[in-house]
Amino acid sequence: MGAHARPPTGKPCLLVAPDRAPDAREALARAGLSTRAVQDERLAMEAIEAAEALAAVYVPHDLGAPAIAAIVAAAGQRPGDAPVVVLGASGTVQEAVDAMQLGAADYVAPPYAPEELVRRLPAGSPRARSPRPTAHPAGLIGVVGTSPAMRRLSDAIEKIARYKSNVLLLGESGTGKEIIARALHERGPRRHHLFVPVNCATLGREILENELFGHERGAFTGANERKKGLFELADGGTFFLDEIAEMDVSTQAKLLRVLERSEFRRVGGTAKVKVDLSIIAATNRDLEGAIAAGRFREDLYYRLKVVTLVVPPLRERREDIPALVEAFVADFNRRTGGRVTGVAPAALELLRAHDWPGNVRELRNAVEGACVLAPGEVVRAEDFELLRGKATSGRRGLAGRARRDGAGRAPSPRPSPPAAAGGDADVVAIPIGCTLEEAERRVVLASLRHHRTRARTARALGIGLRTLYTKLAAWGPDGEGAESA
Amino acid sequence: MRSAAPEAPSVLLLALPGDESEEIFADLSRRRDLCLIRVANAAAANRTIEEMPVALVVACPEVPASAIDSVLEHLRRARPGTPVLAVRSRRAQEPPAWAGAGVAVLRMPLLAGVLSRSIDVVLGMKRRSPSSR
Repeated sequence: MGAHARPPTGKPCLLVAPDRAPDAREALARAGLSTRAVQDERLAMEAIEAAEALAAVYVPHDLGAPAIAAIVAAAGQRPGDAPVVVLGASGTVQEAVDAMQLGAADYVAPPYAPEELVRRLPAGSPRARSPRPTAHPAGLIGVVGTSPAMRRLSDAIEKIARYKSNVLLLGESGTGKEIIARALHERGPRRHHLFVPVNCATLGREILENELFGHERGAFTGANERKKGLFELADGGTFFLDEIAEMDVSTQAKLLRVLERSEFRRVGGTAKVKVDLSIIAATNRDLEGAIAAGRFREDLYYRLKVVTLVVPPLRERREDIPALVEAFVADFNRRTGGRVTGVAPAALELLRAHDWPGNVRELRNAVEGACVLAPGEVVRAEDFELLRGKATSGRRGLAGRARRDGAGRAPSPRPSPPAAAGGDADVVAIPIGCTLEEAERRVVLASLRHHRTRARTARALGIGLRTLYTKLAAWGPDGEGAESA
Repeated sequence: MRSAAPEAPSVLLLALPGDESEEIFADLSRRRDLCLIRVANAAAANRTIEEMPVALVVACPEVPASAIDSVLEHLRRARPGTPVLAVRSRRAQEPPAWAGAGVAVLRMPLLAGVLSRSIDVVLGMKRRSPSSR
């Protein structure tokens, strides 16, 4: 590095589309900065995602507003700070302001002097000097956990919350997507306005549209008064659309208009209603699959997915279970006046070993149930077992899972059938000579293991839930345990 | 006017009183590196421009274009080259002359921090190029 400003941070920089700003590459090199160049925004987003550390991302203004916005969004989701610096083309004030409006951290007018480029690195950039909330992300309301997955998520929430942008939350059922949505709202510029959650799966198309958009007087039989919709009431705030994949395609078209133009019409109305909202949508479905099947609009998907957060399942952050349990016990005590002081180490071990297909919601219910059942002030492993009705079984329920999942722990008491031994839960081996009843038992139990809940298993097998219960009862604990051990 | 660092550049905020302008200026209110001067109409803005070394003018969305035109005219005579940031609603139409008069338009809704960062870059550019491109 020459005499320019301070020494480089050691982190590399990313230069996007160097052909559009040939002087910038040379200036970065003269500044002594380690720079990787990529040709377009797609490669830039891949590089941003893959890089362990980045000092800054330099993007030529000529790349265009959509590309810059996409790169800003990608950089904003990194765990570390990677400010996006726009390299101006004309050097006008309007160009600089446009760059800021796209979310860039800084702007450099041409010609790109090395000291100007270095000045944009995080430690010296205006963005880093700007006042920012200093609270640690772990303090996010309702967001519990210090696992790497949750720290990444919390960092992303901190960054995204600064903007009034729309967000798509992906994650399995029960992972706490609404809590994340609330955290985004409460940390963001709309926190003084309403947070309005709506579950798209619980309302039919007409009722949902009426709730969202409202209606004019006389729009339909019984519409005696004009009714404002939830979008209108939430003006200025944040709208949370849970289970967005379940929304009817025609309603999706109207939502797209809200996203694109910040306006809509009430049901039966002609006048446009303007609103200023941030939309957070969530789903546990494969939206790209839904698009391929024609059940979800592609344009809406791309409009929503600019900023996407994936909420990790609980099994990928088992180290957060003690903190979650502690929070749930405290919440139980607060709501019920209970006096539970904690959970026994053996019980925690049990909980950590479970797969939690229902995620945080399932854990919360399990903890609350065990708190109710616990005879003393400390919740024991048996209290969780009681919930499953398997207090004495060593091979099933939470305790059974704990022993099975724990490496080097109690070996299976009986040889596992090929399906289980092979570790491929999607394959069921039926040996020649096996009776029809035994084949049925193996198929049912393998399905139960795969689908995890009896209701889903019954649906998948095409039998009634009661039939499934009858079969499981007939096979008894040994029969079921033999398969799952 | 709020207390600021002695060398802080003066930023003239032209805004009608109200929640909307409060929210727009929320980013700026914590900054001690800017000297913020808030006025509610063009006449007060023009008096301030006469009396103080204003480095930048920021106008809120509800300020009529005619008031901004008046301020531009005054700036042209009293402090040529002073940039103006006009925060405008999403669909507002601006007079074509603004582009050549040093006015940059920010569209509502503003993301958090955008106004603050815009002021940083504009003041930075102005320091490098007093004529304010």
